Amino acid sequence: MGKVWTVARRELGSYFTSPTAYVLLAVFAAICGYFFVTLVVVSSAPDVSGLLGNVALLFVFIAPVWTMRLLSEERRAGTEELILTSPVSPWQWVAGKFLGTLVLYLAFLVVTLVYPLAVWHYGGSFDWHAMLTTYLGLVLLGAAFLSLGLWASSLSDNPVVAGMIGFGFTLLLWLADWLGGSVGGRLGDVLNYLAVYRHLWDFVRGVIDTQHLIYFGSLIFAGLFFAVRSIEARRWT
Amino acid sequence: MIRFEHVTKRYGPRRGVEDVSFEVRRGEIVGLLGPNGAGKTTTLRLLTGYLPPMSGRILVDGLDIEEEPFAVRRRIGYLPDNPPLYPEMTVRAYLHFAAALRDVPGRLRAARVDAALERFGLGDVAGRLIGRLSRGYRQRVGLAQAVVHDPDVLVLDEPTVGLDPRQVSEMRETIRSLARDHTIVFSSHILSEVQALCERVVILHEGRVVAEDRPETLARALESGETLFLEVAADAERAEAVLRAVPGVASVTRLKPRGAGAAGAAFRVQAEPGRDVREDLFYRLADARMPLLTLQRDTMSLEEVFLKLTQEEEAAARG
Repeated sequence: MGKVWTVARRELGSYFTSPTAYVLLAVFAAICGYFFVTLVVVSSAPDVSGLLGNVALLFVFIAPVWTMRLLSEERRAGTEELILTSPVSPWQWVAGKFLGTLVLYLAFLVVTLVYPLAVWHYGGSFDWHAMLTTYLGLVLLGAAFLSLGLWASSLSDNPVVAGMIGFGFTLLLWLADWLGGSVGGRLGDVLNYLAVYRHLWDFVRGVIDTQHLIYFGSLIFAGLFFAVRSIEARRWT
Repeated sequence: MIRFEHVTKRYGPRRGVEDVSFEVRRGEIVGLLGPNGAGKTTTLRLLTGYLPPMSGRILVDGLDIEEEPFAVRRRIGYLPDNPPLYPEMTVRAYLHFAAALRDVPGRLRAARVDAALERFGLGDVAGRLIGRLSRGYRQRVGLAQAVVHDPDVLVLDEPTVGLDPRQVSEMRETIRSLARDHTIVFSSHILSEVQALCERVVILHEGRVVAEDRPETLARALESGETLFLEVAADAERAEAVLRAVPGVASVTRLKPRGAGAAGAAFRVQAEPGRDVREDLFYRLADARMPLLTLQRDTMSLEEVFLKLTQEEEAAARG
């Protein structure tokens, strides 16, 4: 665990000593502000949960950019050689990287708290319970996307290529049920099950269902697992 | 301290290293020498555990690197050919990170980092971002990273490449001083460097060890008889005839006389192995009334040894 935290702390530190974190934070905040104005301030039927659903959609685009350089850049710059010749296992390394970005993501979510709090302060319709479960859903969704992005980042030493692969993962998960509806049958069921929005929806309505926890947990584990495997596999080629 | 036993590593169909065996004793400084693509970097990457061997064993301090990877890695400090630096970190933060990765206990870390900063003259830049440092400084940060956990073994891949001449000589001085406390294995394609620094040389060519010995011994062992350079104040053709008649002379090559307006002729004479022909040469020339102006031994440099070895290897492969 000590090693995981060492890696995570370095990762977080470098987000903040380079412009990456600030630019991401600024863009994220600006777009959330835009959602807030259109969906809540000038809307005839103000709806905070709709706003948070859009935050999830925004993350489909942001997560791949966020994670694309995590492993690919280390490989390109040769810093991977420092890590993998130190007494650190690929699991510790990947888990540390994941933890570092997850902490940053949680910080971003804290920034978005300003919108529901504003609604509550000015006396809009407000459901504390649903808000908390929605945030739980967003945390899980973000963690899953970051984990998949980390896997994408392990597949190429070119961050742009890794970013495109990661974007493929997140967007396909978002849109999986488009095809699922028309295919039908067993394949349709699988595609519908994969659709991330269907699992987020219950959280937005205030329901915590174990099957959704399993869904997000599996995605997180799969991303980390395949990232580790691809690091290990590369040693042997 | 380090032992390679028949180690082979291929990259798919491409050659890495084949059946490499050699040994490094504690406290030694050993150079891996070879042209680009000879397998130097692969050998070092195998030693540091970055790549696994496909067959064979590598032991460090009696431990198999595949069976006890962490124990071995704690004993090794590694500077890859490209220093593994994070440009967005400060020098001090980076060294702390490296120390933590290598299991330096928290309470000792600050002291170790300070010691490394001081040893490599990095005190003034400790708070600067690595990305802003010059190439020479980065190389020093790379070295500091490799010794921050005080390893028994230091592995340096082409430590002087890309440095200017002054930095190169500083780096060699540093390596020499590090050799007091560490066993060092480094690679180089520069022969004079290896000759100047190492106690032993392992010469690699096309993934195989073609020779392993002390630099001087290697040079001597490979000489097939002594080579002499001589100048004679006489007609070149007649002098050559005299030289060829000396017993023990294997071959005579006529050279251009050195220096402008030099009278007489110059030769390179190759003696048969194990024979000293210098006295005979002197008397024979004297008898023929051909004054000997210069007589000089030509010892083979490591460079020639190297060329010779690799050519023999190629010839053997063709034959």
